[in-house]
Amino acid sequence: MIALDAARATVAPRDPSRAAAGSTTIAVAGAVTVATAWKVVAQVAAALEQGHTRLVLDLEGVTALDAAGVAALLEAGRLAERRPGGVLELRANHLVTAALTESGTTALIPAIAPGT
Amino acid sequence: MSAAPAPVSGRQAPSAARAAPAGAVVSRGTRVYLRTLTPADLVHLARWVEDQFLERMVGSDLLHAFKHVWDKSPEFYEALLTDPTQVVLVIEAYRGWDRPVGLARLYNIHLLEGYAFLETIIADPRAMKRGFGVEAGKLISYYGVDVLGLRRIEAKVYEYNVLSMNSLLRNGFRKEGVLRQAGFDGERAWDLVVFGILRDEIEAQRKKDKVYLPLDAPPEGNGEPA
Repeated sequence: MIALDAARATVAPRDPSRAAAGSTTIAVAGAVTVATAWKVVAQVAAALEQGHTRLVLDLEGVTALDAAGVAALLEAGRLAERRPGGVLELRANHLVTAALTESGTTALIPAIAPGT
Repeated sequence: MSAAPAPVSGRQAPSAARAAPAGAVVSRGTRVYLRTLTPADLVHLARWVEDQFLERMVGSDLLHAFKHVWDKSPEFYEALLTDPTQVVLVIEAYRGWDRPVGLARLYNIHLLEGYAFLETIIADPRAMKRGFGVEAGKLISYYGVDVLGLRRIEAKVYEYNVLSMNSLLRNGFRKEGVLRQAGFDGERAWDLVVFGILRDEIEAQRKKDKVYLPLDAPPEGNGEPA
Protein backbone atom coordinates (compact mmCIF):
# COMPACT_ATOMS: atom_id res chain seq x y z
CA MET A 1 0.00 0.00 0.00
CA ILE A 2 1.20 3.47 -0.82
CA ALA A 3 0.09 5.96 1.82
CA LEU A 4 -0.29 9.58 0.94
CA ASP A 5 -0.95 12.09 3.64
CA ALA A 6 -2.14 15.09 1.72
CA ALA A 7 -0.22 17.29 4.11
CA ARG A 8 2.88 15.10 4.39
CA ALA A 9 3.42 12.72 1.53
CA THR A 10 4.82 9.49 2.93
CA VAL A 11 5.16 5.93 1.79
CA ALA A 12 3.88 3.23 4.14
CA PRO A 13 4.42 -0.52 4.13
CA ARG A 14 2.30 -2.53 1.76
CA ASP A 15 -0.96 -3.70 3.28
CA PRO A 16 -2.31 -6.39 0.97
CA SER A 17 -5.14 -7.29 3.33
CA ARG A 18 -7.06 -4.17 2.36
CA ALA A 19 -6.54 -4.34 -1.36
CA ALA A 20 -8.30 -6.39 -3.96
CA ALA A 21 -6.20 -9.15 -5.47
CA GLY A 22 -3.67 -7.80 -7.92
CA SER A 23 -4.37 -4.19 -7.14
CA THR A 24 -2.27 -1.52 -5.53
CA THR A 25 -3.79 0.63 -2.83
CA ILE A 26 -2.90 4.28 -2.48
CA ALA A 27 -4.12 5.49 0.89
CA VAL A 28 -4.80 9.18 1.12
CA ALA A 29 -5.21 10.97 4.44
CA GLY A 30 -5.81 14.54 5.51
CA ALA A 31 -7.17 17.44 3.53
CA VAL A 32 -7.28 17.05 -0.24
CA THR A 33 -7.68 20.65 -1.29
CA VAL A 34 -6.18 23.32 -3.53
CA ALA A 35 -2.94 23.09 -1.59
CA THR A 36 -2.52 19.34 -1.74
CA ALA A 37 -4.71 17.81 -4.45
CA TRP A 38 -1.87 17.75 -6.98
CA LYS A 39 -0.09 15.19 -4.79
CA VAL A 40 -2.89 12.69 -5.35
CA VAL A 41 -2.63 13.06 -9.11
CA ALA A 42 1.14 12.79 -8.95
CA GLN A 43 0.98 9.66 -6.80
CA VAL A 44 -1.49 7.96 -9.12
CA ALA A 45 0.57 8.95 -12.15
CA ALA A 46 3.70 7.54 -10.52
CA ALA A 47 1.98 4.26 -9.66
CA LEU A 48 0.74 3.91 -13.23
CA GLU A 49 4.19 4.72 -14.51
CA GLN A 50 5.55 1.92 -12.36
CA GLY A 51 3.21 -0.50 -14.05
CA HIS A 52 0.45 -0.67 -11.45
CA THR A 53 -2.67 -0.56 -13.57
CA ARG A 54 -5.26 -1.69 -11.03
CA LEU A 55 -5.35 0.98 -8.38
CA VAL A 56 -7.48 1.47 -5.31
CA LEU A 57 -7.55 5.00 -3.96
CA ASP A 58 -8.33 4.60 -0.29
CA LEU A 59 -9.87 7.87 0.83
CA GLU A 60 -11.13 6.79 4.21
CA GLY A 61 -8.64 9.03 5.96
CA VAL A 62 -9.59 12.15 4.02
CA THR A 63 -10.74 14.99 6.26
CA ALA A 64 -11.55 17.64 3.66
CA LEU A 65 -12.26 17.65 -0.05
CA ASP A 66 -12.84 20.83 -1.99
CA ALA A 67 -13.39 21.40 -5.71
CA ALA A 68 -9.70 20.99 -6.46
CA GLY A 69 -9.75 17.69 -4.58
CA VAL A 70 -12.71 16.41 -6.54
CA ALA A 71 -11.06 17.52 -9.77
CA ALA A 72 -7.92 15.63 -8.74
CA LEU A 73 -9.91 12.43 -8.27
CA LEU A 74 -11.43 12.88 -11.71
CA GLU A 75 -8.03 13.46 -13.25
CA ALA A 76 -6.64 10.42 -11.47
CA GLY A 77 -9.46 8.34 -12.94
CA ARG A 78 -8.75 9.68 -16.42
CA LEU A 79 -5.06 8.84 -16.07
CA ALA A 80 -5.92 5.26 -15.14
CA GLU A 81 -8.39 4.90 -17.98
CA ARG A 82 -5.74 5.92 -20.50
CA ARG A 83 -3.64 2.90 -19.54
CA PRO A 84 -4.48 -0.44 -21.14
CA GLY A 85 -6.34 -2.36 -18.45
CA GLY A 86 -6.17 0.63 -16.16
CA VAL A 87 -8.71 0.76 -13.37
CA LEU A 88 -9.02 3.19 -10.49
CA GLU A 89 -11.42 2.35 -7.71
CA LEU A 90 -12.23 4.81 -4.98
CA ARG A 91 -12.81 3.74 -1.42
CA ALA A 92 -14.65 6.72 -0.03
CA ASN A 93 -15.71 7.77 3.45
CA HIS A 94 -18.88 9.71 4.09
CA LEU A 95 -17.21 13.08 3.64
CA VAL A 96 -15.84 12.12 0.26
CA THR A 97 -19.13 10.59 -0.82
CA ALA A 98 -20.95 13.74 0.19
CA ALA A 99 -18.51 15.93 -1.71
CA LEU A 100 -18.81 13.82 -4.86
CA THR A 101 -22.58 13.88 -4.62
CA GLU A 102 -22.73 17.62 -4.00
CA SER A 103 -20.41 18.31 -6.89
CA GLY A 104 -22.49 16.09 -9.17
CA THR A 105 -19.48 14.05 -10.21
CA THR A 106 -20.44 10.56 -9.09
CA ALA A 107 -21.17 9.68 -12.70
CA LEU A 108 -17.58 10.53 -13.67
CA ILE A 109 -15.85 8.59 -10.93
CA PRO A 110 -14.88 5.09 -12.11
CA ALA A 111 -16.04 3.22 -9.03
CA ILE A 112 -17.05 4.11 -5.53
CA ALA A 113 -17.17 1.78 -2.62
CA PRO A 114 -18.15 3.86 0.41
CA GLY A 115 -16.74 2.48 3.60
CA THR A 116 -15.81 -0.89 2.17
CA MET B 1 12.07 37.89 9.76
CA SER B 2 12.39 41.39 11.07
CA ALA B 3 9.20 43.19 11.87
CA ALA B 4 8.00 45.65 9.31
CA PRO B 5 7.13 49.19 10.34
CA ALA B 6 3.54 49.43 11.38
CA PRO B 7 1.75 50.34 8.17
CA VAL B 8 -1.23 52.59 7.95
CA SER B 9 -2.50 50.86 4.91
CA GLY B 10 -1.67 47.68 3.05
CA ARG B 11 1.61 49.14 1.83
CA GLN B 12 4.97 49.29 3.47
CA ALA B 13 8.35 50.63 2.58
CA PRO B 14 9.78 48.65 -0.34
CA SER B 15 12.95 47.89 1.59
CA ALA B 16 11.15 46.38 4.55
CA ALA B 17 11.27 42.62 4.89
CA ARG B 18 8.01 40.75 4.93
CA ALA B 19 7.27 37.59 6.82
CA ALA B 20 6.37 34.69 4.59
CA PRO B 21 2.63 34.13 4.74
CA ALA B 22 1.28 30.70 5.45
CA GLY B 23 -0.57 28.91 2.70
CA ALA B 24 0.61 27.39 -0.51
CA VAL B 25 1.29 29.52 -3.54
CA VAL B 26 -0.95 28.26 -6.31
CA SER B 27 -0.20 30.59 -9.16
CA ARG B 28 2.10 33.48 -9.91
CA GLY B 29 1.81 36.48 -12.13
CA THR B 30 4.03 39.46 -12.67
CA ARG B 31 2.25 41.70 -10.17
CA VAL B 32 0.41 39.34 -7.87
CA TYR B 33 0.32 35.73 -6.85
CA LEU B 34 -2.49 33.57 -5.55
CA ARG B 35 -2.16 31.44 -2.46
CA THR B 36 -4.45 29.25 -0.44
CA LEU B 37 -6.59 30.71 2.30
CA THR B 38 -5.47 30.09 5.89
CA PRO B 39 -7.33 30.48 9.19
CA ALA B 40 -5.30 33.63 9.85
CA ASP B 41 -6.84 35.24 6.76
CA LEU B 42 -10.21 35.39 8.47
CA VAL B 43 -8.93 38.53 10.22
CA HIS B 44 -8.76 40.21 6.83
CA LEU B 45 -12.16 38.91 5.80
CA ALA B 46 -13.61 40.27 9.04
CA ARG B 47 -12.34 43.70 8.09
CA TRP B 48 -13.45 43.50 4.49
CA VAL B 49 -17.02 42.51 5.31
CA GLU B 50 -17.46 45.83 7.10
CA ASP B 51 -16.47 47.81 4.01
CA GLN B 52 -19.65 49.32 2.63
CA PHE B 53 -17.99 50.35 -0.62
CA LEU B 54 -16.85 46.79 -1.21
CA GLU B 55 -20.28 45.46 -0.42
CA ARG B 56 -21.86 47.81 -2.93
CA MET B 57 -19.33 47.19 -5.68
CA VAL B 58 -18.95 43.43 -5.37
CA GLY B 59 -21.87 42.15 -3.31
CA SER B 60 -19.93 39.00 -2.56
CA ASP B 61 -21.95 36.00 -1.41
CA LEU B 62 -18.80 34.69 0.25
CA LEU B 63 -18.28 37.77 2.40
CA HIS B 64 -22.00 38.01 3.06
CA ALA B 65 -22.09 34.42 4.30
CA PHE B 66 -19.00 34.94 6.47
CA LYS B 67 -20.65 37.86 8.21
CA HIS B 68 -24.31 36.97 8.31
CA VAL B 69 -24.43 33.17 8.20
CA TRP B 70 -21.24 32.26 10.03
CA ASP B 71 -21.05 35.33 12.25
CA LYS B 72 -17.34 35.56 11.41
CA SER B 73 -16.77 32.19 13.06
CA PRO B 74 -13.44 30.37 12.57
CA GLU B 75 -15.51 27.40 11.45
CA PHE B 76 -16.07 29.27 8.20
CA TYR B 77 -12.58 28.24 7.17
CA GLU B 78 -13.36 24.56 7.73
CA ALA B 79 -16.56 24.93 5.76
CA LEU B 80 -14.61 26.28 2.79
CA LEU B 81 -12.21 23.35 2.95
CA THR B 82 -15.05 20.90 2.52
CA ASP B 83 -16.96 22.83 -0.12
CA PRO B 84 -16.65 21.02 -3.46
CA THR B 85 -18.28 23.86 -5.36
CA GLN B 86 -15.76 26.62 -4.87
CA VAL B 87 -12.11 27.53 -4.71
CA VAL B 88 -11.08 30.60 -2.72
CA LEU B 89 -7.60 32.02 -3.16
CA VAL B 90 -5.92 34.99 -1.54
CA ILE B 91 -4.41 37.69 -3.73
CA GLU B 92 -0.99 38.85 -2.61
CA ALA B 93 0.95 41.62 -4.29
CA TYR B 94 4.68 41.09 -4.67
CA ARG B 95 6.43 44.16 -3.42
CA GLY B 96 5.56 46.79 -0.88
CA TRP B 97 2.48 45.11 0.54
CA ASP B 98 2.35 43.59 3.96
CA ARG B 99 -1.09 42.08 3.82
CA PRO B 100 -3.37 40.44 1.26
CA VAL B 101 -5.01 42.78 -1.20
CA GLY B 102 -8.07 40.65 -1.90
CA LEU B 103 -9.61 37.37 -2.94
CA ALA B 104 -10.08 35.51 -6.19
CA ARG B 105 -12.78 32.89 -6.20
CA LEU B 106 -14.33 30.36 -8.52
CA TYR B 107 -17.73 29.38 -7.24
CA ASN B 108 -20.76 27.39 -8.30
CA ILE B 109 -18.21 25.10 -9.88
CA HIS B 110 -19.86 22.46 -12.03
CA LEU B 111 -17.07 19.99 -12.72
CA LEU B 112 -19.34 17.67 -14.65
CA GLU B 113 -20.57 20.37 -17.02
CA GLY B 114 -17.30 22.29 -16.96
CA TYR B 115 -18.35 25.76 -15.93
CA ALA B 116 -18.00 28.04 -12.95
CA PHE B 117 -18.42 31.65 -11.90
CA LEU B 118 -15.62 34.10 -11.19
CA GLU B 119 -15.39 36.67 -8.45
CA THR B 120 -12.36 38.90 -7.96
CA ILE B 121 -12.27 41.17 -4.93
CA ILE B 122 -9.63 43.86 -4.52
CA ALA B 123 -10.36 44.87 -0.96
CA ASP B 124 -7.61 47.37 -0.28
CA PRO B 125 -8.53 50.67 -1.95
CA ARG B 126 -4.86 51.47 -2.47
CA ALA B 127 -4.49 48.28 -4.46
CA MET B 128 -7.10 49.30 -7.00
CA LYS B 129 -6.27 50.50 -10.50
CA ARG B 130 -2.89 48.77 -10.41
CA GLY B 131 -3.81 45.81 -12.56
CA PHE B 132 -3.94 43.47 -9.57
CA GLY B 133 -7.55 42.45 -10.15
CA VAL B 134 -6.96 41.90 -13.85
CA GLU B 135 -4.02 39.62 -13.21
CA ALA B 136 -5.68 37.76 -10.33
CA GLY B 137 -8.71 37.10 -12.49
CA LYS B 138 -6.46 35.86 -15.24
CA LEU B 139 -4.50 33.54 -12.95
CA ILE B 140 -7.52 31.94 -11.39
CA SER B 141 -9.07 31.51 -14.84
CA TYR B 142 -5.96 29.60 -15.90
CA TYR B 143 -6.28 27.54 -12.74
CA GLY B 144 -9.89 26.79 -13.58
CA VAL B 145 -8.99 25.56 -17.04
CA ASP B 146 -5.77 23.73 -16.15
CA VAL B 147 -6.68 22.11 -12.87
CA LEU B 148 -10.44 22.02 -12.68
CA GLY B 149 -10.95 21.32 -16.36
CA LEU B 150 -13.39 24.16 -16.89
CA ARG B 151 -14.47 25.07 -20.39
CA ARG B 152 -16.43 28.20 -19.49
CA ILE B 153 -16.17 30.87 -16.82
CA GLU B 154 -18.86 33.40 -16.16
CA ALA B 155 -18.96 36.63 -14.16
CA LYS B 156 -21.72 38.98 -13.16
CA VAL B 157 -21.09 42.65 -12.46
CA TYR B 158 -23.29 45.47 -11.22
CA GLU B 159 -23.93 47.95 -14.00
CA TYR B 160 -22.18 50.73 -12.06
CA ASN B 161 -18.97 48.74 -11.46
CA VAL B 162 -17.10 49.96 -14.51
CA LEU B 163 -13.71 48.96 -13.05
CA SER B 164 -14.70 45.30 -12.86
CA MET B 165 -16.26 45.34 -16.31
CA ASN B 166 -13.08 46.77 -17.79
CA SER B 167 -11.00 44.16 -15.96
CA LEU B 168 -13.05 41.35 -17.43
CA LEU B 169 -12.87 42.82 -20.91
CA ARG B 170 -9.11 43.16 -20.60
CA ASN B 171 -8.97 39.45 -19.77
CA GLY B 172 -10.87 38.53 -22.89
CA PHE B 173 -14.30 38.07 -21.35
CA ARG B 174 -17.19 38.96 -23.60
CA LYS B 175 -20.28 40.81 -22.55
CA GLU B 176 -23.05 38.29 -23.07
CA GLY B 177 -26.09 40.02 -21.76
CA VAL B 178 -27.88 41.89 -19.03
CA LEU B 179 -29.97 40.56 -16.19
CA ARG B 180 -32.37 43.46 -15.89
CA GLN B 181 -32.90 44.79 -12.37
CA ALA B 182 -31.44 41.62 -10.92
CA GLY B 183 -29.40 43.35 -8.23
CA PHE B 184 -30.75 45.22 -5.24
CA ASP B 185 -28.63 47.39 -2.96
CA GLY B 186 -31.24 48.00 -0.30
CA GLU B 187 -32.58 51.11 -1.98
CA ARG B 188 -33.06 50.37 -5.64
CA ALA B 189 -32.65 47.68 -8.25
CA TRP B 190 -29.72 47.62 -10.67
CA ASP B 191 -28.96 45.66 -13.78
CA LEU B 192 -26.38 42.89 -13.64
CA VAL B 193 -24.12 42.58 -16.64
CA VAL B 194 -23.13 39.04 -17.58
CA PHE B 195 -19.68 38.26 -18.95
CA GLY B 196 -18.33 34.94 -20.14
CA ILE B 197 -15.21 33.38 -21.55
CA LEU B 198 -14.58 29.98 -23.10
CA ARG B 199 -11.54 27.76 -22.76
CA ASP B 200 -10.11 28.49 -26.20
CA GLU B 201 -10.53 32.20 -25.57
CA ILE B 202 -8.63 31.84 -22.30
CA GLU B 203 -5.88 30.00 -24.15
CA ALA B 204 -5.73 32.81 -26.68
CA GLN B 205 -5.31 35.28 -23.82
CA ARG B 206 -2.60 33.17 -22.25
CA LYS B 207 -0.51 33.30 -25.40
CA LYS B 208 -0.50 37.08 -25.18
CA ASP B 209 1.05 37.44 -21.75
CA LYS B 210 3.88 36.27 -19.57
CA VAL B 211 2.12 34.80 -16.57
CA TYR B 212 2.39 31.13 -15.97
CA LEU B 213 1.08 28.44 -13.69
CA PRO B 214 3.75 26.46 -11.83
CA LEU B 215 1.68 23.41 -11.07
CA ASP B 216 4.53 20.96 -11.19
CA ALA B 217 6.39 22.33 -8.24
CA PRO B 218 4.42 24.59 -5.92
CA PRO B 219 7.02 26.86 -4.38
CA GLU B 220 7.50 27.53 -0.71
CA GLY B 221 7.96 30.90 0.95
CA ASN B 222 6.25 34.15 0.34
CA GLY B 223 6.05 33.91 -3.40
CA GLU B 224 8.75 36.43 -4.13
CA PRO B 225 10.46 35.58 -7.37
CA ALA B 226 14.07 34.57 -6.90
